[in-house]
Amino acid sequence: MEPPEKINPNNSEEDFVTLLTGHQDILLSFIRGSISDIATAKDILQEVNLILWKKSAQFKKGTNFGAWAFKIARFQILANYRDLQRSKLIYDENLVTQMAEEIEHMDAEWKNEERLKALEFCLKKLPKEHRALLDSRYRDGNSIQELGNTHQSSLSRIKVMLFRSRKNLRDCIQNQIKTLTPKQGGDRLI
Amino acid sequence: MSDQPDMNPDIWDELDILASAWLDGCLNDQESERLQLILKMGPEYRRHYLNLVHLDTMAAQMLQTEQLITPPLIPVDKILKFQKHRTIRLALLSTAALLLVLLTIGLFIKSDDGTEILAFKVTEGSKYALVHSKADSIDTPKGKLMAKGSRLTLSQGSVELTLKSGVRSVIMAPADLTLLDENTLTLDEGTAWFQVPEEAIGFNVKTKDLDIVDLGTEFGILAKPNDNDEIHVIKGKVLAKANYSHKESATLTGGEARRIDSIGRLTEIPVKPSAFLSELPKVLPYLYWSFDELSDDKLLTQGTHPEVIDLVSTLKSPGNGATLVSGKFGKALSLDGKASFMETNWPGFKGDQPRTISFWFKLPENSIHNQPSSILGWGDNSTALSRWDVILMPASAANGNQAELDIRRGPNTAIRTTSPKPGQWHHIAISYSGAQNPQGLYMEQVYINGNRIDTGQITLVGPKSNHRKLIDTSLSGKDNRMFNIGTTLNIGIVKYYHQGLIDELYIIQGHLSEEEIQQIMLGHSDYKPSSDK
Repeated sequence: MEPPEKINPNNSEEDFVTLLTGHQDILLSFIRGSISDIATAKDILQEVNLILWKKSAQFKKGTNFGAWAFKIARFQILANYRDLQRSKLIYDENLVTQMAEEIEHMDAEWKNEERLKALEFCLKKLPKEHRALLDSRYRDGNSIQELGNTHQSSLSRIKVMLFRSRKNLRDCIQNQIKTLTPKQGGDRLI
Repeated sequence: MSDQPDMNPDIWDELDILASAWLDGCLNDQESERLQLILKMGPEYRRHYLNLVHLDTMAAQMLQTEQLITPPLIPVDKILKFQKHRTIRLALLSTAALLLVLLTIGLFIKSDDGTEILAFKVTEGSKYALVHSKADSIDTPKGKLMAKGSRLTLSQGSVELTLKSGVRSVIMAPADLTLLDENTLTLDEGTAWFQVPEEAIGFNVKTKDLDIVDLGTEFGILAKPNDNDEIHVIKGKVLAKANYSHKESATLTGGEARRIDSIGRLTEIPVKPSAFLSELPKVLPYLYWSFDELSDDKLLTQGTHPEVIDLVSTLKSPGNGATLVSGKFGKALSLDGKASFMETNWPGFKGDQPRTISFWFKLPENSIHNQPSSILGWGDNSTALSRWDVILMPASAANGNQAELDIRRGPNTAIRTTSPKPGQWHHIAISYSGAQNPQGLYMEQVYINGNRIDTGQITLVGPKSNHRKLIDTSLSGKDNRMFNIGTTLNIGIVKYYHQGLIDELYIIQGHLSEEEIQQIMLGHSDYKPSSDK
């Protein structure tokens, strides 16, 4: 039996880069599932990318790139947990492993173009105050403490407002996907 | 969520609330334990949770980047470039642990521990990648700091460097530099200005073509990957040496400049201090036409881009067909569609450099567009991806009898959307980032009146394979034209002239977000000459 083909970065860069770029969103979402701060999650994603790139020659073409990438991402998450021992925002190792197993099933669903279109549409259609809150949280990078100061509201109220904004966004996307893909059971896409 | 199985609905609600708190980093001990407990109850809960996280992360990405599709966080072109690079840093980079950080805006951080020897800050809107030779080490610099072996690539904007030795530098994108040690910098690409204090005499900049040793001075370097490098001495003295063939060297003093030729000689050229920035600008470099002032046949051109100094905008107006009339703000340029246009001596932005154009636009009421007309653009029409211009395509039954806007990259490659209706002012902005979407396409973002046109309303014109390639605007092809307003780039065939009004034109060296474009549209941004209306 022929040995599996290896991707050599010197002559098959495009193949590897295509796989790498195609997994950015799902890797970031997986990392953020275990590291809530989005900036830290992005930093870890960069670490993962670089490890993947350095090890690209070891990747066997035709094997499961996602499984390999999630394994490395899981390792990097746990490595970062060592610096966050006292934080309330870490999970135990088994749970991170379980989520790595689940995430592989989400890939196709998350790559659905309608889902992204619906998200874009629904961000535009969000009620003004919900959109402003999400803008302030993500575009301007404000923490909920900063949002509390800006809105002169308690943290618990800001938490509720953010929860409602997200729920509103999810409901809109769910409806939108139903409209876009009525025959494909679009409500499962969220 | 509708994919929830029939279990206790309260748990799903609780999971939603806890997940939202998790995403905001504000769980208390009990909530954290409870969330973990629920997630361990079964795969359906974990999938639901991951769905919530994914959706929120994508929303955050869209809000942060204003991209329809999240671009890769890692600049893949840079990774490829690393591998292909011809310099000695290849070995260093391929064996060392690398840390890439893509940021846009940040604070200037001072170094205290002695491992970092360079601090930098960037213009708002800049995009850069920072690579350290010692990732995961305690010596790895954090923030906007560089140590020995650190490499900075800048795809848009500008950066100001301050070395511990006191050397100051301002470098414009596209740029690629590596700090070899506290006294030596390599500059593989970039338009760089350096100011060297007396105590740092001997500071050394190496380009692929030249080896520059400062002898107490202020100087500029143009380092270009596919062209010959230049050294411009503004004050003081510099020792310049060619790296290949004849390896000619010369000591240059203030007011002198040299360009290396293909056999390693240093050819005298006029010194051009205006080509360099000596202060970090507030915004990305830009050019601006208000269309308010006409002197003889020359239109006032403003902005912060260094090339504005030499840029001449000339109105070609046979039969007085090009005039300044009442516009959206002050006056506007009016073209009659017969033989009038504005030409310049500015070549435009080259290659796949990120860029944005923004302008107000009005077609005459009841105007009939039965042939294509070029609104504005530059480049070479001889190959598929070498030009960049905006064309008004004629109305036809096929497109609902409405004119369309093409953003053209070549004779048969464009993206197309519906043109605004005649008789009213509309704001149009087109921004290109160089980022590829998950479908592998490179697409400009188009905004009309500050609203992003959804990709569903954009048609790809020409072979899809062309849209999978980076644009590659040429400034030197056989059918090349400098930037102009109002006439076709198709040299050698029938020329078509644009009829309509244009006002408040900006050409910006970089990609802008929706918010920035809206600010420019409203006249609230920093992209405005201070003396202007």
